[in-house]
Amino acid sequence: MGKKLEEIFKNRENTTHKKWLYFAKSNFYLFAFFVVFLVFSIACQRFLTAKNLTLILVQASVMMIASMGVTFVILAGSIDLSIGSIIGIGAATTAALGPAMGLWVIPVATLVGALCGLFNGILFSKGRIPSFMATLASMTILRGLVYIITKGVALPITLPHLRIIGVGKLVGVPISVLVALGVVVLSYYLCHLNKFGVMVAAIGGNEKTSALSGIKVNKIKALVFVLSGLFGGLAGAVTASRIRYRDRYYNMCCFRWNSYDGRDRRD
Amino acid sequence: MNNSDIVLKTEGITKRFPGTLALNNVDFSLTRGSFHGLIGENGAGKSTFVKILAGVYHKDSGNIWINNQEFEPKNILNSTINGVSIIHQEAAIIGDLTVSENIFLNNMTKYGKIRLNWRKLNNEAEKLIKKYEIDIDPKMISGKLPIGQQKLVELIKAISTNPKILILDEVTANLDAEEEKLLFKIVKQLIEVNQLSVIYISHRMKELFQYCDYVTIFKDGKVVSNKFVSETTSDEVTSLMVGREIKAQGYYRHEFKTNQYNENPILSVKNLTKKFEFEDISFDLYPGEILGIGGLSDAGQQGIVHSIYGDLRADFGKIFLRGKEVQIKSPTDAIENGIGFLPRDRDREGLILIHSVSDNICLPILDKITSNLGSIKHKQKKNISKDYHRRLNIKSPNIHTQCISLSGGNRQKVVFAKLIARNTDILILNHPTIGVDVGAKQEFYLLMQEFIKRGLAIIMVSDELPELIGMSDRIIIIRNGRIAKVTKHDEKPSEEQLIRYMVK
Repeated sequence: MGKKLEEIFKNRENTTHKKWLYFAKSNFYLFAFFVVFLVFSIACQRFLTAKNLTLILVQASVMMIASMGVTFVILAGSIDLSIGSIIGIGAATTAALGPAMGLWVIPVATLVGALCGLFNGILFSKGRIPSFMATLASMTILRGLVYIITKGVALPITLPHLRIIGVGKLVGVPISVLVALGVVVLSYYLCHLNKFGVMVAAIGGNEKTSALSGIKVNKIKALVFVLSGLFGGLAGAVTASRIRYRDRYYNMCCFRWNSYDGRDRRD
Repeated sequence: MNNSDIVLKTEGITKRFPGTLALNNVDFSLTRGSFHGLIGENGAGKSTFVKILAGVYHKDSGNIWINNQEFEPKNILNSTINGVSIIHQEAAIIGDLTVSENIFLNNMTKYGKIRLNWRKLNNEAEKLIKKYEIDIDPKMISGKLPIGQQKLVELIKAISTNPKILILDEVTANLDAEEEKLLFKIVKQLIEVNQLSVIYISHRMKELFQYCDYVTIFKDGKVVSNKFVSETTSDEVTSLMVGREIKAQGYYRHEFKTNQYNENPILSVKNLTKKFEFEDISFDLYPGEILGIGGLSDAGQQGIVHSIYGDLRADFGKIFLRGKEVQIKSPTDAIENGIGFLPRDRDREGLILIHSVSDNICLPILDKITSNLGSIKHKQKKNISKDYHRRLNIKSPNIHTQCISLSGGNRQKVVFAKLIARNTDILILNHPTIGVDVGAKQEFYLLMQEFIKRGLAIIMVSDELPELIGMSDRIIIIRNGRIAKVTKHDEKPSEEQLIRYMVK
C-alpha cells in the first residue's frame, strides 16, 4: 500500500509543478467563493451595496466564530456535533442572565460554553467514547438544558447594553464582525504560530506517533473541545445580542433557543 | 509409506511479496495421521506457507494436492470445505461474540436460515466443549475469557468442521502449562481417533521434540531439510535453521571498555513484570554501553522496552535512573527523564507521514523551539531541521518535503533525528535497521558509536543476530518473557549459541 501511496503523491507533485495551479487547487474554496460573489454582483443590483454586504458579514459572524473552534476539533481528527447546542446554551445564558448581569454576561456565556466543551472533552479523552457518539449525546443533553434554562418558552431579550455588540459600530464596522475577526486572528495564531496548533495537527496526523513523541495526547484532545465550546459560547452570546437589534420594531424579541441549528427562527 | 498415505502434497510453491521472495519452490508432503513440525527463523516463510494452504494468501506458482486431487485454495471458506483448518498466530476470536457464536461463525445457517435456533446452537457448542473436557461456558462473551482459553475456543472452532488437516501456527505463545497440556491432549486424541494430520509451527524446540513425528526446516523461503524427529537432535536442527555465513562485518565494534562496569549504572530495571508478557526482568545499563536484547518474535522484548518508555504499564517493578527511582507513567515522563525511543514500526509509530521532515524532527522538541507562551520560533525550527537534515544526510529535496515521499532508510533517518535532536541520555532502539539498506545501516552504526562515546547508553532490541553480536557489549536473551541468558562481548557468542538460548 505504501508504494502505491508514494506513487500517487509523486504523480500529484508532477501534475502540480505549475505554481499557480497548485495555488488554485489548494485554495479551491476561495476561488469558489469569488465565483459566487461575482455571479451575484452581476445578477442582482442590490447585492453589491455597502448595506447588504455589511448585513451578510453580521449574519456570518456567528458562524465564523463557531467554526473556528470546530476547525481545531477536525484538525485533531475528531468531530464536534454539539456545537449548535453549545451556541444555543450560550445564547440562552445571555438571555436568562443578561438582565441581572449586563455586559458581564458575555464572558459568562463564553465560559459556560467552555464548560460544555470540557464535558465533551472528558467524555472523549477520559471516557474513551468516540467523539461522534459523545458529542451526539451531549448535543441532545445540552438542547434539553436549554429547555430548562428558558423553561420551554421564548425568552424576551430586553437588554439595552447588549445592543452595543449587535448594533454598535466601530469606525463603520459592526462590532460583531470585529469580534469574529478577532477570533479568526487568534485561531490563526494558535494554529500556525503556536505549538498548540502543531500538537493538534500531529494528533490528527498520527496519534500513536504523537504519544510516543511525548505529546500529552489526552490533554490536547480535551483542550480542543474546550476551545470549540469556548468559541461556541461566545457565538451564542453574539447571536443573542444581534436578535435584539433586528427586532427593534417589536420592542422585544423572542427566540426559541432550543431549536437552534444555525439559523434564527423567530416566533 | 505408500501414496495413499499422503494427505497433502505441494510442489514448487513460490510466493513473492514486494521486495522479497517469501517462498521459493517449496516441496512438502504430509502423511496421514502425523504430527508434522515446521521450524525456521523469523521471516523464513513458515507462516506464509501455511497461509497459502489455508487460502489466506494466493500462491504465485506451484501445485497443491489433497488426497491426490489437485487443490486450489481460493479463500479460507474454500479451504475449510476441503478439510483444512488453521489456527493463526494472531488472535482470531471475535471478542464481542459469545463462545458458541464464535465456534459456529462460519456455518451459522445450519441453525436456522431465517430465525437462529439459539438453544440448539448453544447446546451443540456445549456438547463439543464437554467432549474435550474443557471448562468454558458457551454463552460467555469471548472477549472476557483469558487469552489462553480464547485459544482453546479457536481450537474447538477449528475442529468443529471435522478437518482432515489442522494447522497450528504458534498457538502455544500465550498458553500456560495447563492449557498447553490440554491442547496437545485434544490434538493427540484427534490424531488417533480421526486420523487427523497436523502441521505445527513453533519456535519451541522442546515441544517440537516432545510431540512431532517429522520436522521440516525452513530457511529464507526454502525447505532446507526434512527429518524424522527420532533421527535428529536439537543441535542439528538449530544449525540447519541458521546455517548462514556471517556477512561482511563492517559494523563490527572492536573497542570495548572493560572497566565500565565499575561505574554506577545509568539505568537499572528491577523485577519488571507484566502478566502474559514478561516476568521478573532485572538488568543494569552502564554509561557508554550498548545493551542488546534478543529473543524470538513473541518472547516479550517489545513489552519490556515499551514499558520502560512508559507506553505500556507494567504490573509491577521499579526503574532507577542514576540510582534514583523514577515513575515513568507516560512517554512524556520518559522524555523528560532523558530517555529516547525509536519505535519498531516507523510509519505507524515513528513518523507522521503526511507532515514535512521539519515538522517531524521538531515534534519532540516543541518546548525548545517555542517561547514561554508557546509561540513558535520559526527561524530556530528551520535551523535545527536543516542542521539534522545535513548531518544525517537525509535525501530529500528540502526540509519541507512530506515524509511519505521518502524511502524507508531516509524515513528511519528522520526518526533518528527526532531522537538525537533532544538531548537524550538513554536511547531505546527497537529494531534500528529494519528494512534499511546496507549503506544506511553503516551510517546508523556509526551514529550509535558516536552516541555512546559521549558516555551515554543504548538499549537495542533486534532480531538480526549479526547486528546483536556485532554491536552489543552485552546481550540479554529473552525466552518466554524471562531473561534466559546474559552474554558478555568477550564471550564472543555465536549465532547458533544465541538461537539455542532462545529456543531451549
